[in-house]
Amino acid sequence: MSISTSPRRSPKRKRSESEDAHNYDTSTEGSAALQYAYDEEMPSELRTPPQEQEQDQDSEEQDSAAAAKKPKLERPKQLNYTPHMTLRGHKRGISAVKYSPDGKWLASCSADATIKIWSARTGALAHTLEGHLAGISTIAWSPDSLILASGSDDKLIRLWNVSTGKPLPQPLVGHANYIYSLAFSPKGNMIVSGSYDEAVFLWDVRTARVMRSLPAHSDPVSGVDFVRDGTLIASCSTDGLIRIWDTGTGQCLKTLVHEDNAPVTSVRFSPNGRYVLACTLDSCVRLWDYVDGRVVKTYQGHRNEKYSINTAFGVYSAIGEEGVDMAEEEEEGDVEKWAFAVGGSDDGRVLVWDVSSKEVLQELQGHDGAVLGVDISGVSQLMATCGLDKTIKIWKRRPVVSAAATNGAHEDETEITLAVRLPSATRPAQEDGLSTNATPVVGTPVASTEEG
Amino acid sequence: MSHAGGGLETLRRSASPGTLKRKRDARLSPSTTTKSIKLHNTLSSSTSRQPSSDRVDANKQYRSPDSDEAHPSDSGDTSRGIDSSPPKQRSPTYAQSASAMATLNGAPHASASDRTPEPPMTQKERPQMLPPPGKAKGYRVVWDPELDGKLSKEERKRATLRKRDFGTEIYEPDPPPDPRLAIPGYMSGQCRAKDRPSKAIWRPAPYNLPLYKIDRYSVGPGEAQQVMVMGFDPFLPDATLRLNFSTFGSVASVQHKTDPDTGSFLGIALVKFRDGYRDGIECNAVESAKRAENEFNGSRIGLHTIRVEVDREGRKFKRHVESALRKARDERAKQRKASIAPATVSDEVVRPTNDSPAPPLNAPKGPSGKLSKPLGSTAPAVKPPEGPRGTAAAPSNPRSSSGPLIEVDLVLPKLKRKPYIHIPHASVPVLGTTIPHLKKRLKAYDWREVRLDKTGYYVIFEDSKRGEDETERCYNECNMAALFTYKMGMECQKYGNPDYERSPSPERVMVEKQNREHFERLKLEDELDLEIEKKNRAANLDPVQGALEQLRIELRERIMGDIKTRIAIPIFHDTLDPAKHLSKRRKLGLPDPSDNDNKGTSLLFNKAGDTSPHTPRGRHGYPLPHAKPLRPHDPNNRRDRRVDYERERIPANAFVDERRRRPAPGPSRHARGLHFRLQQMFDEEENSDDEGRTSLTRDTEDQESRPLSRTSRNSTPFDNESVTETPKHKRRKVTDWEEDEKEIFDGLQKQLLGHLLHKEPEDLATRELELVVNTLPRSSKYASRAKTELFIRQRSKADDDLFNVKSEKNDYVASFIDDVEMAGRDQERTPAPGIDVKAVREKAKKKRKTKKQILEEQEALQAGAREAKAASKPIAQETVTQIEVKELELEAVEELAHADVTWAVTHDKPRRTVEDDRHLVLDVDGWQDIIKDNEDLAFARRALAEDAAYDIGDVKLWAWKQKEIKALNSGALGPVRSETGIDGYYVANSTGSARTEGFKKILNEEKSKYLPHRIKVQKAREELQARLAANPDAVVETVKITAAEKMASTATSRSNRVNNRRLVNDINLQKQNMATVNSDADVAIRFNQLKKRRKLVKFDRSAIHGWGLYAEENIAQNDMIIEYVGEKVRQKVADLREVRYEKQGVGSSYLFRMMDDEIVDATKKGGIARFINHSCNPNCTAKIIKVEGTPRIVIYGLKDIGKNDELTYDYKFEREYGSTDRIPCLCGSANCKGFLN
Repeated sequence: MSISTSPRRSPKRKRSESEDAHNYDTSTEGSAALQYAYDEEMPSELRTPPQEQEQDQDSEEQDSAAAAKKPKLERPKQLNYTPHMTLRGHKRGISAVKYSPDGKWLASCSADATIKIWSARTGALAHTLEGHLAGISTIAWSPDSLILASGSDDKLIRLWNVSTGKPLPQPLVGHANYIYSLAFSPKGNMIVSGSYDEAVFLWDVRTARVMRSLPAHSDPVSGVDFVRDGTLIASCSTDGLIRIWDTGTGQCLKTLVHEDNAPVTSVRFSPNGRYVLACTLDSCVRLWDYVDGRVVKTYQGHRNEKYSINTAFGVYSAIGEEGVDMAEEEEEGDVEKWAFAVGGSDDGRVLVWDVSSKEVLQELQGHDGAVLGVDISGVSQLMATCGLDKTIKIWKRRPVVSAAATNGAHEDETEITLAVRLPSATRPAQEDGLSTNATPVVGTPVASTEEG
Repeated sequence: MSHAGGGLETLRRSASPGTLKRKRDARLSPSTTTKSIKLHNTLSSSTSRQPSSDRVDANKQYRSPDSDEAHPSDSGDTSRGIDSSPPKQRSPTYAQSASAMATLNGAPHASASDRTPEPPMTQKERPQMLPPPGKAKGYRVVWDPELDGKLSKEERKRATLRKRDFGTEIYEPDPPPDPRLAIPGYMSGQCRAKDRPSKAIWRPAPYNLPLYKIDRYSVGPGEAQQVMVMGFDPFLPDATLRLNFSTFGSVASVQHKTDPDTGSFLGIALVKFRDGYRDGIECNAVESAKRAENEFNGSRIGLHTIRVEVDREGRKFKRHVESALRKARDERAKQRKASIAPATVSDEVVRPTNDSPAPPLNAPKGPSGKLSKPLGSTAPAVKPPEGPRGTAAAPSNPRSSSGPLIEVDLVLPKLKRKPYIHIPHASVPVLGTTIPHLKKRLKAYDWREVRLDKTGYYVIFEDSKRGEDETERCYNECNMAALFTYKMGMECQKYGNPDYERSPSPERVMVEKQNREHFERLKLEDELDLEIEKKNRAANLDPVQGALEQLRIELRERIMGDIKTRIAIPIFHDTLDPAKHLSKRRKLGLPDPSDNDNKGTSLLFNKAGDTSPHTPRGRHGYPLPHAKPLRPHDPNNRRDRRVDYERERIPANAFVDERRRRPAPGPSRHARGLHFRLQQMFDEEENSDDEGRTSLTRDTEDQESRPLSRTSRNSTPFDNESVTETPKHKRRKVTDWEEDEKEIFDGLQKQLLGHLLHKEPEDLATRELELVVNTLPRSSKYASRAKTELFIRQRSKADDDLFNVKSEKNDYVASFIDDVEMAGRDQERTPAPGIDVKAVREKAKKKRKTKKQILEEQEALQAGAREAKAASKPIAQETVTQIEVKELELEAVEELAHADVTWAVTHDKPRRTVEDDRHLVLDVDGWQDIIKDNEDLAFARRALAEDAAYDIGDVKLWAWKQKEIKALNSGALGPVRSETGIDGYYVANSTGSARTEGFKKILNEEKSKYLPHRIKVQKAREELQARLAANPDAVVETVKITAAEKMASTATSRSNRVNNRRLVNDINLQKQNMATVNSDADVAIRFNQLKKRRKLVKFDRSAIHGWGLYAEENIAQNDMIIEYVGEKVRQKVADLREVRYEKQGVGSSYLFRMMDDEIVDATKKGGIARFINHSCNPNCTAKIIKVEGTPRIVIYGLKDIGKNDELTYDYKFEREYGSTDRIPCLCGSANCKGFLN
């Protein structure tokens, strides 16, 4: 049951389509309700750290220009994430794991109806949030890292005060079936939720009421996400559709359907907001240019036929020959960085793809069951994964020992630029947030000894 | 005069200059004062003081401020006024008043009480607006020298004002005439003008509204269908009465009341009519009753003039019967007193309390014993009327003498609810003569009665809202007012006697009364029997005989004792040895009694406890100290299980009339030894299973521990059957406490009781007994009734019953064991027999044991409930956790234990000390609530013993968290009665959450359970179907109505006109353009004309399937709505595409066959018309029309469609009966065929 606005690929129409999209952008820019999205005064802490400064339309030219100036390091063909910690404590499968935007906490939610807050640095358990009556499928951090939203099978979305570990008394009630996906708006004033009842609800956090109900899909809404400025919502469903919605009006702006119509299990905007990354149950992760409505890249190599896995974006940079810690290196200045995407797999692996080249940078093994959640810490080189084996694994990026890698075949030659430059505002956070070469981390339930 | 002057002197001296103005008042006062003094001369002089000073005060207030001039002349005036002979003794009054004035000048509100020793409340008196009647209100100047021009200046100065007082006129009590009477013709109602209507009509009486006519719409009892007849000869046969009244209509019943005591007719009858035919004419019951009243009232039957009154609910009848009965009883009581007074005195007194007269010796005694009723029951009943009668007489003749006016009895208890004002004797002395004065004093208020007893006066008001208001008003205005010299300190009770307990409802009162009467009757019967026996004995007293009798009794008792101790008990010991029943116990899975042994033995005195929940109400409340007084102790007669009742019996007492029933043995707790009563406090939770053998054990106990005495050995009337009926008791108890187990016991109970009762001799009340057996005592009412019946039967049986231990005990044991088998499921049952005989004396322990048993049972139940809960919960692990942890939790919360348990001695029935709420959800709170003490905890532990403990870390933390979670989700702290869960549709995921579950296809019927829009439509559909099933016509009608509404909605409004205009224009245009004659020109015209104005539609989620198309405006029938647009493909392509779409998971088919080989595919490219869903009852239709040579699919309205209606048409798929992939139809219409194809 698709909407008639299916992607058209005739090259003739392409130009005008993108123009349309552009026009849309400018029009929303004018609307007062969405003004904040472009507000220069937006406090930096409201921005999620992985969201880098959006590049201009002609960023590619700029980039190439900058690259021309700098001594161009070769892009590493491999990443070396090594097991850092294993956090245990959940009694049932863990459905999602999320770093808080300020990088201090790691939240995990599980089918045992609990949420656990861990210290991102030490891995110490800070809180166990109990209050849901059924398993929890999804969590989302508020941009200020103080509130955590959780969506459970008991049809409630609860908001938790992370500092006290207590739920806010008023849950968000309205869904008719399990909550399946959640996302906080970048300003923290709205929550979008997708549910098994096929609806996408837009909630006002302050009043705990449904602001808008988006008649979205004809199957459970498996993923929702806000674009970085909050003006767009992406939703996907196992009916095979990805929809882009206008937050302000509730209009469906775009519907992305792949030929095969495979169930889509997660959707995520790229940090610069120009693409969406979607997982489908045909074992593909696709990067869509939602403006054009076409698939830009398809990442493969994992297996995903049953579970709704999550993906995450991250950046990496080249490492010096001596294996200097990348964090230090990055501090030095405008090091060139590349984007990568991470996704779990039904067979317990975690795959890291280079966004542009689509090549698999690393294949992490360590989980027993399907890996459902992955997240990259915005301020450090940490990656957290969780899965059905009831464990959370923290991976830390280390210098590549041997650089023996081959470039994967390019699907097309387009260079994908997600966002390279970190905004200067987030730098200090990165500095004080984590000194990655600090003392080895212990004191966690189980210090990891497993090998990747 | 000199006195007056002296008064003035005082005034002048004491008053400040400013107050000298008041001289005129002093001058004015004399005349009035004298008057008042005269008035008060009738009273004592001491009383006159205060009023007079009051008067002065009053005068002072009304003095005019401008009279400063001419003191001497003023004083002269004054003297002139007084010189009419002021009596000497008045001078102190004046002085007083003057001084009072003086003090008042200084401090107007300061009291004058320093002079007049009055209660301080006088000062609180409200200032009065108007001077009291008879006082001068002021003066009018009749001549002013200043204004007289004839006088010279000097003369003017010298001359004084001439003035005249006013307001001194004598009070006129007559009300002014009604001014309306001045209107001519007012009285006749002719006053109003003919031309205009007016309400000004004289209405001499309030409206009399006609009564509501009772017609077929009225609710309620309807009109009277019966008449009360009285006054006829009591011996008139019913038939004659019936005959008499059948002249008015067909008589349904004639109820001629008899005196229940004597059986004589009262001469009061209730004749009930019924609708029916009489002489072929239909006659109404109501009519008949009315006619009977009209025509028959006052006429005669025989020599007696009868009274016939319509009596709708039989109340009049009842009232008359009651009064007649009362009268009869009084009379009889009087007679009896006269006849047997001397006889009673001589009685040797076993029961010193009994002084009620016995009936005459020859008084008839029916087997029912009813005849003896009036004797005692009336005696107390008779007394009270005497009091009221005396008092009733008092107010009627108030002037007779003061003596009778003061009622001997306290008035207060008789006041009941009537509002009254009490004037205590402290404020007004109790004097009969005061009543008329008081009445006069309070004549302004609408009191009903003034009564007087030694505590004071009672002014009684009407028992109504008005009366209450009146009471209050009276109180407000008269409290602390003067009555002569007294202050009427009042006490207002506008809701009547504060101590009077209102009867909650007449029904209950009636029931209670009946119960009481019943009980009293029984008691009386007993007493009567005793009386007679006494008399008989007194008459036939032969010392030798008596001694022999006594000897015989003792001998028998000794023999009994020997039999019991030497034969019965060893046999019991033998048979009931637990070791013997080991195998049986094992079979039934019962615990070994040995471990119960140390806990306690069976209760030995639980008779009353067993039966009490079911005994008739009030029975236990009445101690019968002399129940079964003259019978020898017959301990074995209650052991006679399955007694052969035909067996020879030994009369217990030679004097006992064998025809008569045994006197009812009352509950003899009060006659028991102290140790019994003490032990009773442990008796609260005793269990039913003990009854059978405890009766045994108790008997033995009795014999050994107590000397034989004449007082009762029977704790309750039911002792004798307690063995026989053990299962019944047991069962009852269980049903009472364990409603859930009712069904289980039902069959068992019937089985047991049925065969037991079969053997019972039916000497009495067979039906009731059967009733008892068959109708299980679900409600307490039934139970009590059953008990009563059993009791009566028991009484009658008592004489007949004989015990025979030897022959019976084996039977008994055997049957006992049988019972054990039958009631085998019951845990406590089997171990009990063994224990009982063994541990006869360990009563206290026994108590504990029974309690434990109960608890055990409870715990078992709880465990069962919990298991059920656990079973229902899919997340087994969690439940296990909960269960295990609870155990631990219990330890943690032990401290809670004793909070709610109260220990006290109960006297009536055993009560549970703690009521366990069975509906409690057994979460942590629930367990904490239900487990009260260590004992409970121990049982809980035992119940949970099988479950392995689950490690939950810190127990308290865990418990707190659980509570928090519950509170968060249910919004309530503490124990709850409903499971906190997830509202609405919820199916737990097996892995715990949706995301860990992974993707799976959700079936449509599954979706219909939770998708809100589907639920909505489904509900509507179900409703429709239900209605259709219930009443097909109604649905058709409603459909029509809605259709009409829609028609109206489309037809009205301006837009309709506009549409029409446009339509006409369009058609004209088309006709002009399309001159060429086409085959289906009309359709084409419609198509073309409407192509321009396709209807506004939108798509939205549909309940039928996925998406649907909705009208956004009203659409008329036959209007074109939308064209179905899509790719036109050939059949082959369509087939290919269909396969592909299916593979892609496109849930819907958007292929529309237009021609044989032309199919419109709107899946990828097409208009929104593809969203139109199928319905079996469509409102649109798809037509294929050719336009300019090419076929097009166009959707037309099949009927008028309202705004926001979903558009549907019939897909007209080929039927594929029996096919496996039929597409289910979800259209929800009433005539849905179920499938699309």
